[in-house]
Amino acid sequence: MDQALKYVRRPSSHLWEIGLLALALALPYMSFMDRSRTSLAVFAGIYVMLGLSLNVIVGYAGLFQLGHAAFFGLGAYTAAILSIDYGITILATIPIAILVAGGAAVLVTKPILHLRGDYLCIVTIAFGEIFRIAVTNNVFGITGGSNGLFGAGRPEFPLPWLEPVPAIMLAIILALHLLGTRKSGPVLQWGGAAVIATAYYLLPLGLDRKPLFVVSMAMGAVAVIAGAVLRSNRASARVQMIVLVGIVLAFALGTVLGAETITGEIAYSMDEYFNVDDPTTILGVEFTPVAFKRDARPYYYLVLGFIVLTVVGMRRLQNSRLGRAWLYVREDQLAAEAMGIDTTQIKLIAFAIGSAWAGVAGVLYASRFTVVAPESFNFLQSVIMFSIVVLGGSGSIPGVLVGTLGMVVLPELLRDAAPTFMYEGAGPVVILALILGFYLYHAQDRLPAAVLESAAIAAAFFLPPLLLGEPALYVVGILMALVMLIAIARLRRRTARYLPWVAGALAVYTIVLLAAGGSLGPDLSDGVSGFRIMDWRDGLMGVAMVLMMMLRPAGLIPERRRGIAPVTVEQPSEPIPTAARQQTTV
Amino acid sequence: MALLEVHSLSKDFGGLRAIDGLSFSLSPGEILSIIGPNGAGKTTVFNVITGIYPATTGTVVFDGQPLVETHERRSERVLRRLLTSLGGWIPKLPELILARLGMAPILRPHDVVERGIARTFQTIRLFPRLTVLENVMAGEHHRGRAGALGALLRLPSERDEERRIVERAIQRLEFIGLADKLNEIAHNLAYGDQRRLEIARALATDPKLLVLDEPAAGLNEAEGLALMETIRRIRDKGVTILLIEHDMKVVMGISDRIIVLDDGTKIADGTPIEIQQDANVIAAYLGEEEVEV
Repeated sequence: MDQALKYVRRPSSHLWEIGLLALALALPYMSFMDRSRTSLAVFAGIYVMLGLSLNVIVGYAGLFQLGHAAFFGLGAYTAAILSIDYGITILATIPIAILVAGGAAVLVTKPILHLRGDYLCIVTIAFGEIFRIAVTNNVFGITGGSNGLFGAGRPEFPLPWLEPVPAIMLAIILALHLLGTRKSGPVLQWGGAAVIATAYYLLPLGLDRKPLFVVSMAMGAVAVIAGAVLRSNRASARVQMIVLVGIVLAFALGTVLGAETITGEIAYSMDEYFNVDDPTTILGVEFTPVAFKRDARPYYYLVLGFIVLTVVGMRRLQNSRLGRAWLYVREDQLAAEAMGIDTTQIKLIAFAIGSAWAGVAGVLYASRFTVVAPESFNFLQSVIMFSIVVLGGSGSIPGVLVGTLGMVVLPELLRDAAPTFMYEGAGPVVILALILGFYLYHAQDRLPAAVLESAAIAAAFFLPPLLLGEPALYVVGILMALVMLIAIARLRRRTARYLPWVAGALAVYTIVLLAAGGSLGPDLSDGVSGFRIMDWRDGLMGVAMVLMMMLRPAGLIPERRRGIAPVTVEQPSEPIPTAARQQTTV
Repeated sequence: MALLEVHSLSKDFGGLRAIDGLSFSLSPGEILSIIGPNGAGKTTVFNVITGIYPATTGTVVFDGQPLVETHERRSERVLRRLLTSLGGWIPKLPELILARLGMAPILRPHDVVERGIARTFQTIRLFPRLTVLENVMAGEHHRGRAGALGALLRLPSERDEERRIVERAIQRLEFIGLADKLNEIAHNLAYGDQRRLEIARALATDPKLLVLDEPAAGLNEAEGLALMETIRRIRDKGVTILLIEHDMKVVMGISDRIIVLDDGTKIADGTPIEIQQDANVIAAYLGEEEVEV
């Protein structure tokens, strides 16, 4: 019984996810995160949501959608109009945005669902353009024309929600525990809950309460590690329970003690991030509305919360009857139809869910920027969303995250960086990274060969501009290095292995450079005239994408098929020796 | 009563008449083979019955219900077309209107599956990049009820349903003998296993009638024998079988009755022994040579 369920409830250790989440929670506090980068993180988060929503249509159901920005825009406009004209608090417009975007998707895609491949693609492009032109022309006089709409509200909460209430938090933890299946490791669930609770604290707490934050994170980490250890040792249920109770008690104690010291300071720390309005009474309950200010950090946690919600939801959909039906349609529509699957309906549901969720992203967008204008929802945005999905790997949730890093974050970081970014100590670091990378990656290969090749590539990259003294020639250098790289790879018939490493080395270098926020080597920027990496950004991105798709057609992190856990077959109608051999349990 | 009744069925592709006034019937529990030279219209018959192509004229009755009905007035045809285009906007409404007017419903292949006809394809059409188990689970889909909300909230009903789907799929795989490969990716399977998987997938829809399009194509002799055994076991479970096959060993070995098609028309209908001795068949289908058994 439970083995069968394992298929659906994938037996994963949530270690990875929790680690990633912990990193994401801590991100705004890292030294290299200034205001603009936090803001970028919020923007990227919205694109992660868009990528995940488009992934339903493109990745799961295998349909083309190059007009996704229209549904994103529908959500944003719905939120802005309701907020500005009707004074509805902006997060409360989410259900309406879901209905508008999802409903529009159903109406608009129904007649074209029988189209295949490129035809569907063309029609969806048309939809995107129709939307943009319509809002530019101020349809019904409510979209504000080409200037768009100004003054959409920022998110508001009643104050009690933001006050640290240990009781609520414990309830969340308890609920998570009860919801979790027995076999998936209760300790891990607790660990996750601890991290979530940390987020709950961070949002209101003026965020300068680093000590508490650290304590919570540490507790979460302890819970996670304890869970992993217990699971790998197959600890008995009783031991697990004892550890659990211990963690909970410690956690509860910590939160209660923490809350004591915090409540005194909350008014002070909240001012920085929130507008606290006068209390009002609704239905006999007094509450104080608290609105976000312009600062990006509260938004960061809001969007992060939505991303977590989206990822959990998408994963559940993926592992459900509906999710499988999408895969069947994607793999072979006729066979799916012949298995009794109403392919038209299944595709329609994919469009409806994907578009509705893009609408939610639109609401977040409107609440973040408070300005909604047609140019934010043009064809290029649709292409970026599509590229996020395809680049990362169609149907893959981590792929969407990586794709967003590549399509949204990296270009912005390049814009952020000084125009001289490519020369700042690039030489030594890139060469070292390449050599190291090649050596580690091909541990069986002879070291000298790897060094020679790495050096050759790096030389091709750096020599032209250095010899000729013209930094603009770095572009030539890049091209030469690429040619050399492909040539070497061809010679060794290992094409697929080399380029990702160069990309990886460059990315690592970029991140190190940006994180350090300064120069790692001699500054060659003096006397550089007119060359700006920004000017070449789109071209370089294009080249990178073409190469990427040649080398990894399934995306950077392709979707993986998962099997079911070892099966205990109940009442085998015919004993099959191999199946019997698999009768191990978890 | 016959499970499947085909009356003067015809299908035109442009000027080409692929099936011409074909009539036959199939009793429950029978194994009926359709044979004929290439291009005789065998697969077209299958495609019309399973709703992939609309028929030009003729009727098909399955299990007492009309499956294909074509002798209708022009106005009826226009109405049907209108209702078809309305179909997705307002689900179930077209069916209701047609039922009110006493007309046959608009059946798409998935509706036919729900009526109890499952099929395999001449060229294997598995879901190649999915696992063996996932392939079989496809057949269970149409009996499920869980939707997006159930999946998102993981309602108890959805959980139970998923569990049942997996269990039943595993049972099918045991029946067909692929249970030990359920985690493998379908296109990595050996050819014979892919054929069997396709049959398991069709069986997973719980059909009354199983339509097999050249299941023995590409199988070696041992695999062919195993296939015959499998088909018999499926029949013993109470599933009626309609078979297109070129492999005469298989056809003669398991058929209760054989229909011979040539140029879209039926030229013979009888037991394997009768067919082997039928002069028309020998002339049209087997040429001058003697029938191989």
